[in-house]
Amino acid sequence: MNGNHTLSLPQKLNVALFGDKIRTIISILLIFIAVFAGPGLINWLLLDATWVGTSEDCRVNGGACWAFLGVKLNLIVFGAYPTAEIWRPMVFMALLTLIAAYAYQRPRSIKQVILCLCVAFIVGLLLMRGGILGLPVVANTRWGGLPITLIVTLAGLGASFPLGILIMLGGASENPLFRIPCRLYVDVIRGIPAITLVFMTFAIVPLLMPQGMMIDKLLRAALGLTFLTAAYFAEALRGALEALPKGQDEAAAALGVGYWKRQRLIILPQVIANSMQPLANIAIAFVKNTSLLIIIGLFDLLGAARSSLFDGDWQGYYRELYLFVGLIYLVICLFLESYVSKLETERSGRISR
Amino acid sequence: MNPSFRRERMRHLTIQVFTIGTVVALLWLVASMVQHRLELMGINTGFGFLSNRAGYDIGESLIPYDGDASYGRALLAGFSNTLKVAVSSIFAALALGLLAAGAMLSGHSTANRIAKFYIKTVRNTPLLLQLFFWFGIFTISLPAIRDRLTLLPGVYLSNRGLNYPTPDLALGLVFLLALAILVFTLIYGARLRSRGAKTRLFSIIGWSIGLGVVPLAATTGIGHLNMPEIGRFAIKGGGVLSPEFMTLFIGLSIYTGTYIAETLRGAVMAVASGQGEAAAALGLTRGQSFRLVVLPQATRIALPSIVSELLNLVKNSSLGVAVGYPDLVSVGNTAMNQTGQAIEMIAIYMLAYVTINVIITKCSQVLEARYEW
Repeated sequence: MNGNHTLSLPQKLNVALFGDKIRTIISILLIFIAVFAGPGLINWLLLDATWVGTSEDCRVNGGACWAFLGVKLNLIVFGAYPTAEIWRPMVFMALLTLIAAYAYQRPRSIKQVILCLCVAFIVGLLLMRGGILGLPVVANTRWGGLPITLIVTLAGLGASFPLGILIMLGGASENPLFRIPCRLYVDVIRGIPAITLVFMTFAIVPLLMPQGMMIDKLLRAALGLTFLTAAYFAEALRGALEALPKGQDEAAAALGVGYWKRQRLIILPQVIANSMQPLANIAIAFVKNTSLLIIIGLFDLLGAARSSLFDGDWQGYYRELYLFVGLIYLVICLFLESYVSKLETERSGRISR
Repeated sequence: MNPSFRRERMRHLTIQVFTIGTVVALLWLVASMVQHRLELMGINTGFGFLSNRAGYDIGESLIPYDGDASYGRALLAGFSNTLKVAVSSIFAALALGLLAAGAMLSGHSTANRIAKFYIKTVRNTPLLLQLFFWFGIFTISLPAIRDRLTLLPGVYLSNRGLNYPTPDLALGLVFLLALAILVFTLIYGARLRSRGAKTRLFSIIGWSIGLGVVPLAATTGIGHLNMPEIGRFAIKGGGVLSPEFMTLFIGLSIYTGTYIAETLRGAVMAVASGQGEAAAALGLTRGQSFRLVVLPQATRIALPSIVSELLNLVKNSSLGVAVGYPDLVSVGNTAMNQTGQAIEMIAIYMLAYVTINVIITKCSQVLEARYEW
């Protein structure tokens, strides 16, 4: 038989698209769909679209109204944050982008990246709140949009990962006093919908506080997602822990290494490294779950974006809006995904060396 | 006993006693605080409120319900809605996942790319955002009743939902009978075939009776269809799937379909390629080898992950609250706002979702046992 390389391009295409019965059926189906839906889609997305202009232009052109996004960009991305002060969240986001780029370039320096993130987080919060360096104070009830999503993600992941580790260790403990509550916690939390947990922390946490003490709305919201994610982290880590040979722990114990030191130096580094992929999926799920905050009335990215739909002049452009906001989430999640796979290839390269 | 061991033991005992003491003290503190706060706010405790009058309406329900019914009945109505959307989405998500996995495994590069694009984009955006998008499609972009889309005679799509004809009791029974005949033909035919019998004639007779019963009943005038009737502002008669239901159904199916597709694809890839080659060496065709050798093994590998994705689907159906679909959580939250009994409501949620979890897990165990060898 001739190798594929002797075929000309049309012949190759012919084999690829009509090589056997199944491929032929799929090709015909796809061509049919493309002819049926393609022109309308391209017209709407590009040809009839309005790129700049007023809502009147959009109505006349009939296609997608990208001009709407241009007009509402500040509201969509930054919520109700005062327009004159918008450079502050912008600086915060620029800092995070820089750190992300640095992390991607240097996958080995995780510790520095975490340190940088902590600093950027604190600087960002101070900057957005103001009250220092002569900046006017902006109460966090006026924060919104992408910065809220990023803040809640950073704080929530930062808090839930250590919590998840503790719960995992508790669940693996020989002492039933720790083991039973930890296992129960993981099972119960994983059994109920995320949204009920967010509601619950929102409704119940104030009851648990001493009278007169109020917890900030933003913090309460992040708390629910943190409790949720800790359970998922614990479960993912438990899987890796059970796959770890028992000899690792026993050898260290025989050498007289204490419990916490053993976990910190022997167990956790291996467990975390071996569960990279599930951990990354949980982190991505967290980013997506921040959108649940809209349900308790917080203006995260999705919430702020949605509020831009309530303008009487610009009604009904939800498709453009959600495509755009979806793209932002997509970029964040795909970045996390490719960063983790980069970490993994880097690590496997180091081990095989 | 070695004194160092004894000391160790004493230490453990002290720690345990101390921990128990702390936990009990903390729980007592929290409980008394909550009790105090609840009393101050005039909120009852316990499940007595379930028999009180709910006093709010629910958009749709599988069981009879009106505002005069009790909270318990309202929650039951919400639970029935959760089941309705969850069960129908589960089937659609499985079908969609199968389709996308098939596209990725077909060897057709364009189909593969389209399926990958679908999976990447849908998996990496929040489900809630997708639900808002679909809700817009079903409530804003679809035409009003006046300009409705007619999909089939009697099946209308408009911004008030999907209207379809429903059979009356007699015709419904005929439908059931037809379905029973078809299922019997399939199952008994397979059993006959496994014994080596020739089943072509049996199948032809079974299928023609099964498919023929409904038209026969329709022409002889046994039973009739309740057709939706178009009014100026509403469609009366027949059945309707509300825009909220359609939103949740489409959104959940498309979202969960990506996870199922990835799982299936991974499972098929994980079945050793040697299996397919061995089947080919034995003279099986590509289709036979896939159907008889690869698929059964892949299903077994994929089943646990698919079950956990389906459980996620059930939990995600609670996002219906964001688009106004009256599922359990949506109805329950209204009850929670009216009575203030948050803790009791959470317990009810947990009970409901744990029940569904147990049912699905049991079903999967039965399936898994079938694939055991």
